[in-house]
Amino acid sequence: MQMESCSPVQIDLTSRTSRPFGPLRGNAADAARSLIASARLAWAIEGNWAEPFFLLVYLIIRPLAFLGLFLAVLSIGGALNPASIGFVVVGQAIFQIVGAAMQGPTHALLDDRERYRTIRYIFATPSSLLPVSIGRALVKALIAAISAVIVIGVGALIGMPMRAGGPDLPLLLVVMTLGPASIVGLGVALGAVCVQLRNDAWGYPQAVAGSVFLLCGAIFPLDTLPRALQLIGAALPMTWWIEGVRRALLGTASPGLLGELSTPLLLLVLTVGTVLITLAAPRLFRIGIDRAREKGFLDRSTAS
Amino acid sequence: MSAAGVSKDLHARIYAETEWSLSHKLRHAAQSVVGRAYPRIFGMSREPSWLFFDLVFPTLGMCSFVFLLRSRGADEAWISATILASALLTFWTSVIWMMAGQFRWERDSGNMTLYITAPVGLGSIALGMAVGGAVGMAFRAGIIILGGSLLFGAQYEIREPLLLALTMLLGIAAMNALGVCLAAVFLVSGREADHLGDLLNEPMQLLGGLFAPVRSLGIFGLLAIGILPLAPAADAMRQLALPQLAATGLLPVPVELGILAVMFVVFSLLSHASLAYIERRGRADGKLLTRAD
Amino acid sequence: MAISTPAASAAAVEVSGVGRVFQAKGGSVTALHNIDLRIEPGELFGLLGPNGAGKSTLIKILSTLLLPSSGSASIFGLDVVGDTARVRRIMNLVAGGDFSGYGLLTAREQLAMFAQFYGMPYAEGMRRVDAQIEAFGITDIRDRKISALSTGQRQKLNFARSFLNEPWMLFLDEPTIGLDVSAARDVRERVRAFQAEQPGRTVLLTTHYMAEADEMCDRIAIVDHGRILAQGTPTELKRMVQKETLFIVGVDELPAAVSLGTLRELPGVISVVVRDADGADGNGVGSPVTRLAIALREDAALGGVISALAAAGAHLREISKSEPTLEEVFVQLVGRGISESDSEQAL
Repeated sequence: MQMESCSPVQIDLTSRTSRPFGPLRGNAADAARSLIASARLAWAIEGNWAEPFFLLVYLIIRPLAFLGLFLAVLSIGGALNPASIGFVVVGQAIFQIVGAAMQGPTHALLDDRERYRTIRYIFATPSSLLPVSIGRALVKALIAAISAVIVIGVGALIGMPMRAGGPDLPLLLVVMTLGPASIVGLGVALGAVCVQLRNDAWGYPQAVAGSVFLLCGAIFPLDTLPRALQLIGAALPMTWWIEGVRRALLGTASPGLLGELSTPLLLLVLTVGTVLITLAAPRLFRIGIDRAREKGFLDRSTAS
Repeated sequence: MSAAGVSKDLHARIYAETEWSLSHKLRHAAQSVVGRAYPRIFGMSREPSWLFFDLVFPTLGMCSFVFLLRSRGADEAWISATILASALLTFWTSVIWMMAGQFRWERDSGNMTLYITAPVGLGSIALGMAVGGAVGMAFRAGIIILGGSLLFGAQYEIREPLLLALTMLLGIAAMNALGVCLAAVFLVSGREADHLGDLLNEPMQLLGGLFAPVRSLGIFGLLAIGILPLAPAADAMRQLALPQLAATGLLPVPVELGILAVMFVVFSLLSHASLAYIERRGRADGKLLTRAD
Repeated sequence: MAISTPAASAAAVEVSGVGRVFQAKGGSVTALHNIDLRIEPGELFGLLGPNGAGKSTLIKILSTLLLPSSGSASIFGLDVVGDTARVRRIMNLVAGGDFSGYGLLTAREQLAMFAQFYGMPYAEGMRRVDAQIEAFGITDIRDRKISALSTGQRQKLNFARSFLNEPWMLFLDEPTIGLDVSAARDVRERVRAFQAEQPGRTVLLTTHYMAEADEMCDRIAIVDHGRILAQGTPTELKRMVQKETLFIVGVDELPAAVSLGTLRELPGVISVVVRDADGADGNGVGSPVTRLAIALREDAALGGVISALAAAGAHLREISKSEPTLEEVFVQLVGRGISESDSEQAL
């Protein structure tokens, strides 16, 4: 029996018209589905909702312990006054979101690779790892935000001076939109860097978050740092984000050079920084994942 | 000789082989401690990342507190105290993750099975881990103090170096003994152990009076001095290394040293019970000692 | 708790009425039911059964990792519950799929560490470490970090570790899982050599690879759902399915001088039937072969049959022994295959 010859179907694999998000695989609907699925998974894993004690630890005990540490140190310097309390409370509260969003994507990728061993299966789906990472980061940031509200609430109880007439809601809304967007972008990029490393990669996001904590004026004015570090700090979106939240909640600007800048300028810098990061982050993510794939770190556990 | 006779001969020979003299047991215990300390001391330095984690990590936390103090115009002696506290913190962090949490890792990696079925005893393993960890952390602490002194000009006035060394040793020993006590809790907690570790980190830094004197915590400070080795160790070391801050101490140094000694004895006894509990419960329920199949 | 004296039992392993119940959510699970077992010194004894049969549970009890819920067990007369310290001095354990160890240590360092844990003087310990490295052919990786070793290399290292204290009792729990054919064969040969070095060394092997059990074990116990269904030598177990020995003898053609009836009357012969007659390669191509299925009471009777055929002028083309497999034994006992049992366990 002779087989009829048939011409092979021509498929253009290079076309990006069906992929408006550039380095993403699949289309927007795929990305949204992946993000939502990942967010729901993160909500279940990260929330400790079934373990009240640990919920207490992460939402309340640990953040307040941090705050207590900083306030105790302030008391040494004889600087425990409402203004300094407000400065530290807001900085500490917002930085929890920074820390969570920065570490979230890395921990998600490493968890999936080392603990749950599912990253190869996720990667083999038509969806991209990017929305998966973003989903995890967003939920971690959201849970940290709950904790941030608690910290600010406690701060108000112990003498933090709130803005007369209540918080500047429009300003708060803008900075709380831009800030998390920038930090999720940074977290995603950091995740793609760390997934190229061995199991020690767990510690790097914490180190980066620690560096950012030092540089962004979270618990002390930027002017305290040496000049070179001040410039680095000023280049970080979270510095402007925290300052924006301070102005929205406390009604006063920070002491030092940062406080002398106008609010519109602050918003402009924050917006530019956020836009740059959100544009660069997917590209950086793609590059990092591709390199990890080349090195073979996507489909094998590297735990030593 | 009959087969039965050969067999009983073999049994007698084997039984005799299992008789270990006291000197053999002591030598074995010492060898086991050294054996387990070995990976901690030599293995850890084989990862290039140790440079990053041992240098950068601790320095970051230290710098945050130093700049906070400087921004508020605190006395420079407190800068030195902060650096000292950061050095001590490395031991506490090691106790949480590399003592209390380590048995869980040993279980999950399969090492616990080998330890239990070997004639080694979990006590020797724990002691080896403590010794190895202390040596490793001592190096890290030294770098922090050196780095802090160079970066921030910290200065110390140590009038009683032997007393300071004894305080540090007792503090480290008591902390490690406490860590072993907590190992059972970590093992039983399963995956929640990570959360436990986080609970023992920052809250204990506050209660332990690391970066602010425990005296400022009032009744909580007194409680902390009584149950948390970190508190008397930090308080005493600050008084000994920075005499100008002696007035901020909660209790005189000899008293705090005595508390540390008692803590060491009590926690050592409890740690012995903790390890016995781990083995007993693990053999009874079949879950604690072996990773899930 | 009972502490045995050395002469109380002559067996290497004595298990009496051992049961084990695990508490789980929703109830309890009985992993072992009233197990009785006796292993003689110097035996390589196999526990054969599907996943979840209770093999590993029994090994864990005997290796002092687990307490029995009922019954008693001893290793060379030492009670596994009461004399734990002594038992651990004379035994060792290798589990399949084992990734224990410290990744940052080299292979040699890892072995040296365990040599300390078994209480050997340092020099003697290092001598044994180097001897085992050479015996297992892992000299080229001795200075490589554990984390860089392949599965087969790690398992060889595990075996090397287990031989360091020259245990009288060695427990092998599915030791060749994940190993390729060559590595598995090396390991089996090494285990046999280890036993041969010192009479009295006893090995208890658990496996669900029938062929491995058949090849290695002096005696086997077939385990399913926590019970021992049968135990004996591989031959004894196979006789449960097929009592007689069956040989397939192929000749050019059955000579006229000898008939099937004549062959049946030979000593030791139970039956002779023509199984098939075809070409040499079974496809009707080549010289014809007549295959006789000859059931004998004992292997030795085959000589008489061959002599009779040869004397009658038959040209012998092939001889093979047809035995049931342990899988068939398992099916006979349990009513399903071992892989079906695995699937059931999985469900």
